[in-house]
Formats: sequence, C-alpha cells, structure tokens
Amino acid sequence: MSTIYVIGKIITLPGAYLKTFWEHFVCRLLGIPVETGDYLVYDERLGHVEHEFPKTLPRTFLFAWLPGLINRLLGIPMFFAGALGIVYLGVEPIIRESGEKTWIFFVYLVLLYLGISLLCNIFPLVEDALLLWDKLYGKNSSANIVWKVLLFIPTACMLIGS
Amino acid sequence: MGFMDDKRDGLDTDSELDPIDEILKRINENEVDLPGDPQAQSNQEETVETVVEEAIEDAEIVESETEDLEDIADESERCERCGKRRRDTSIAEDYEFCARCRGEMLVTPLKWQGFVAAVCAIIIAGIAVVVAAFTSVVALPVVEAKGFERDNRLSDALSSYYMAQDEAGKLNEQLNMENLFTIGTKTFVNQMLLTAKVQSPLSVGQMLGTAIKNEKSYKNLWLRKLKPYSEILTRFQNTQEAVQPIVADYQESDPKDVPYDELIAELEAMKTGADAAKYEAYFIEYYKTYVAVLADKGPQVELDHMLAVKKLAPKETWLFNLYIADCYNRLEKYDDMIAVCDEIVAENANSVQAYSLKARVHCTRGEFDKAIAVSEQMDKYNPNNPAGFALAAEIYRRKGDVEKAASICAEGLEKVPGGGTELYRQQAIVLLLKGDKKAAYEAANNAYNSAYYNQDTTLELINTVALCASLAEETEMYEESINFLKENDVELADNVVQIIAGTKTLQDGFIGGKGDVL
Repeated sequence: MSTIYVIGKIITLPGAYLKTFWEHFVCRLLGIPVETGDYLVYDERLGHVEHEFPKTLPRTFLFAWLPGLINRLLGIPMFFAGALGIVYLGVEPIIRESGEKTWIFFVYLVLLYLGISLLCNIFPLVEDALLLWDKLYGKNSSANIVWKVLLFIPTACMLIGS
Repeated sequence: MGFMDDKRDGLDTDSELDPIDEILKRINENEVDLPGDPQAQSNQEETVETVVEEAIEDAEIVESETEDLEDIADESERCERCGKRRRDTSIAEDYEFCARCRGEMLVTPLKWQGFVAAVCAIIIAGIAVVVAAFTSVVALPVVEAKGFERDNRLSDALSSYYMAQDEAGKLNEQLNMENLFTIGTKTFVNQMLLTAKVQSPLSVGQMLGTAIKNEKSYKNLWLRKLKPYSEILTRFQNTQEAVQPIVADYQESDPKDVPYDELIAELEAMKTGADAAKYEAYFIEYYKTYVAVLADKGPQVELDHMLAVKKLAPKETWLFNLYIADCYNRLEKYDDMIAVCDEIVAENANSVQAYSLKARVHCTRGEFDKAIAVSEQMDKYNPNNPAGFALAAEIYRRKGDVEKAASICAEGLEKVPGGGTELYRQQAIVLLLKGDKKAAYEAANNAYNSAYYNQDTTLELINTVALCASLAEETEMYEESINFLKENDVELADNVVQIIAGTKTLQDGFIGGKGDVL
C-alpha cells in the first residue's frame, strides 16, 4: 500500500513537491517547528514536511487546510483548461477535419498533467487530519460548537481525502 | 570570540573548542607579550578581559555540553534531533527536542527551489486561466449544442457546432496563429454523427472523404465511430453507378415512354446479381421510387417503394420520412401524414417542414386551433425563425384574420432582419387580401430576391410573384415569372390564372380551400 502511495506521489511529483513547500511555508507562518527542510524524501513523507503538531485548533486547522487550498487554487485552472481541451473537446495533435497539426494539444496536456498533479496533493497527512478531528470532535475537545459545525465538512473531507 | 581548536591538535574535546585550561594558558602567554605603552596596555587589558569573558562563556557551553553528555543517564531524555542536549520538557512532558533544536526548527529556511516552483506554478496557473478563457470561447457553443441535442433540437445543435468552428477560426485569426485553436476530434465526431441525423449519412461520408485521407485514422478511439458512414457512402456510390445506366435514358423522357416494370425488374436483379454485396438493398429500393417518379406512377406507387425502404432500413429516417409524409399528403391520407410528421418532430424538434405540413393539414380540415397549437410548438423550439412567423401568418390568414396575419408578418420582419423568402411571400398574399397591390408586389419582389440569394425558389413563390406582378401591372416581372415556369416545363397554377382572369376572388383562393397558389 505504501509503495503504491509513494509511486502515486512520484507520478504527481510537481504537486507533491509544491505541497511540501506550501506546508513548510505555512509552518513558518504559523510558527510550527519543522524537523527537516528536505522536500524530496522517497517514502511516505513525500509530499509532506516533517513538523511538530500544532498546539491550537486554529493552527491545526490552518495547517491542514491552507497548503491543500493553495494547491487546489493553482490546480483547478490548470486542470480545467487541460480537461476542457483534451477531455471535453477531444483535441489531438492533429486537426482531423483539415489534417493540420496543432501544438495547443501539448499545452493542454501539460496543463492537464500539472492540474492533476496538484489536485492529487490537496490533502494533509493522515496524522494531521486525525489530530484536527481529535481537536474538534475528540473526547477532550474543548472546541466551540460553532467551530464544530462550521469545520465539520472541510475536516471530514480532509480526513477522508488523507 | 572563542579559541577554536582549528589546528585539531589532538586535545580530543569532541568539539572545535579547546579545554578551558588550555585557553587560559594561551591568554597568559598573550599577556606576557604585551608592549610597554600604558594606554595601549590598558586597551590590551580590556581586550584581554573581554576575550577572557567570552572564552569563559564558550568554555561554560562546552562544559555544559560535556555535562549533558555525561550527566544524562537516561538516553530517552536526550534530544532526538541533536542527541546531545536534554529534551525541553517545558514545552511538553514528552517533547522530543532540546530548546536549541526547537529554535533552529522554527526558522528552518524555505528552499529556493521551492520558491522557484511556487512562482512557476503561479505563472502556469495564470497561463491556464488565459488558455481556459480562449478554449471556453470554442467550448461554449459545443456545450450549447449538447443542450440542444438533449432537447432534440438537432438543427440548432448542428448550428452551434458550426458556430464553435467559426469561433475557433476567429480566435486563430485574431491571434494570427493558424491552426492553434480547434474544436477537437471528439467534437468533430459528435458534429458528424449529428450531421448524419439532420442531413444524411451520405453528407458525412462526403465530408470524411475530404477530411480523412488515411484509412488508419479510423483506428482512432473517436474516429472509429465514423467509419460506417464512409462505407455507406461507398455502397451508395456503387449503387448509384450501377443504377445510372439503367435510368439514364429515361430522365428526360415522357413518363409514358418509361418502361416502369422493366426498369424495376432490372433494379430488382441488382439485389441478387454478382455484385449484390457492393450495393445497399434500400438504396436500390429508393431508386425504384425514382423510377416511379420518372414513369409518373403517382403517390401511391412512390409510397409503396418508400415503405419498402423503411422496412429494409427503419433507422434511415433521413431517407424516407419526409418523402412518406409528402406521399400521404398527396394521397390526402392526413392522419397517416400527421403520424409521420409527429415521428419527424419527435426526432428533430427543429424540423420546420414537418410542422408546416401538419399545420396546413389542420387548416385544410378547418381545425385552426390545432394548427395554431402546432405553430406555437414550432415557435417554442424554433424561436425567431422566419418560417415560424410565416406559418403563423398563413394559419391566421386562412382562418380569415387578415389583420392578425399582417401584424405577424410585420413582427417577423422586424425581429428577423432580412426576413425570409416564405415570410415575404406570406406578406405579399396578406397585402393582396388587404387590397394593397403595390405593397404586395413589393413584398413578392423581396421574396424573389431573397430566394435568389438563399437558393430556395419554389413553384409557390414564382406563382405568387406572377400573381402580384400581374395585379400590380408590373408586366416585366410577370413575363419573367412566366418564362421561369416555362423553362422548368411548368404552367402557371390554375388558382393564379383564375384570379388574374377574375373568375376567382383572392378570398376564395387564399382563405378557403388549400389557401395557396397551388
């Protein structure tokens, strides 16, 4: 399972690398200690930065949510443009009705790959997601009911996704 | 400042610092070497003091580290990162790192490669937005086409596909880049499949003949769906080539001279001949209808042949449905005709001809409410179509409401710039009924010009033009119309002749009966 996971991460390396960078970036913003600045570790940690667990609920949520959000925001236009060209219109390197070649296909292809790569790396590490869930809905949770309601869907999505 | 053991003189302190006694010894040696100037000596003394303080601090650190290494009996108390210092339990009881490592971890620098990747990703995302925007210009008509297809508005859907092609062309022109944006193979295939339904599989086969040069292209995932159309065209062409010598001599002959039975037998023999596999049986049957037309056998025989076509290829509705409806109309089997029209409309809600046939039958039967309902249905699926206004105007005229018909014509011509041949023709008839012969002639002339540009000249149109020209005393146009009819071996319609002669009123001709020139 972990081999498949790592292979998946390697296939989507651009997205995994960026996700690691955004995690590191968010750690710096939120003051979360990072154990190592090595982004390319070819094991389960690929796509994530080794860090300490955030102490507070807002930091835990932001750390789990922000890096994925940035990847999502960047990935969606790429995926949309690529999918629109290749999947929806079915653009190929050759325009069939005229027999001419078109290079826009390759632009769509790159955008589609990068989009998929980024969108495959939008979820936090399972430990981070579990920690967030625990802070919100665990036995010792002191989270306000409003936060529990508001953050339920994103937290559940992150937990399932991770 | 520290006294570094940069010489690595074998003191083995496990750090780059010398032990405290070595440092102090070196300080004392420096003190002995100081020059005699008191001020300089004082400065030197201060420097020495500072050096000593720093050295002591460094030494304390070394001592502390040495102490840690020595004092931490329980290895689990040691920092997991550096392995030298004690864990900082002030953070948490089970905190794994020492205070110094924690401080370092808080400022672990972001990698410059990460920044480059992030900037690249942001730029690419920006480019993606632009590419998506341009592609959407092409994709939106395709989305619209698929919506029309779901509503069975097949002609509208086909127009949207053509619009997508136009948009791609315009974009390429604006960007001055040939063949950059395209509707894509998948869309092209969908467009061809739709063309097969709206027009005919033969049109698709012809288009593919010019577009797809290499047979191997049909192995493509999407293009393989189109291969049957290419084969249908080939079989049609084979059939046509075989039929041509059989019927060629009789195409200009008098119907009486056409040996109908003989020709039908020859065509029938094709089905079982040596080359039978090259032909399509329903195309042979279709040509039998053609022979029936040449022999002027009448609508029943034509209908029989067309029903045989339907039996052989029930899915090829493009070939027989409208023809069968027309046959039923000529045979005055109106219920059957309405049933066929309903089938056509169910398949393509944009089939204007089917609505018109159906509405006219209702008018002939005096069922004007039903005719209006058909007209409204046509308008619903074909909004702002000039044919819709023309049909509505015709229905109200035949109902006797000439004013309403006139207002519909005016509204149609206002909403649809350029109008349309049939709408102008209907306006001409309405204006004749209102007694405005000059205006009627003008409208008929507009219809004539429209037909010239749109290539939709009909016998009804020429007869209407001839009538209007005659009543408006436009001799030149009247003669031109008559000559046109003569060139096509057709005579002026009885209705027109009688109205011009005064043996029939305009009201009798256009409100009662079949309500038209023919």
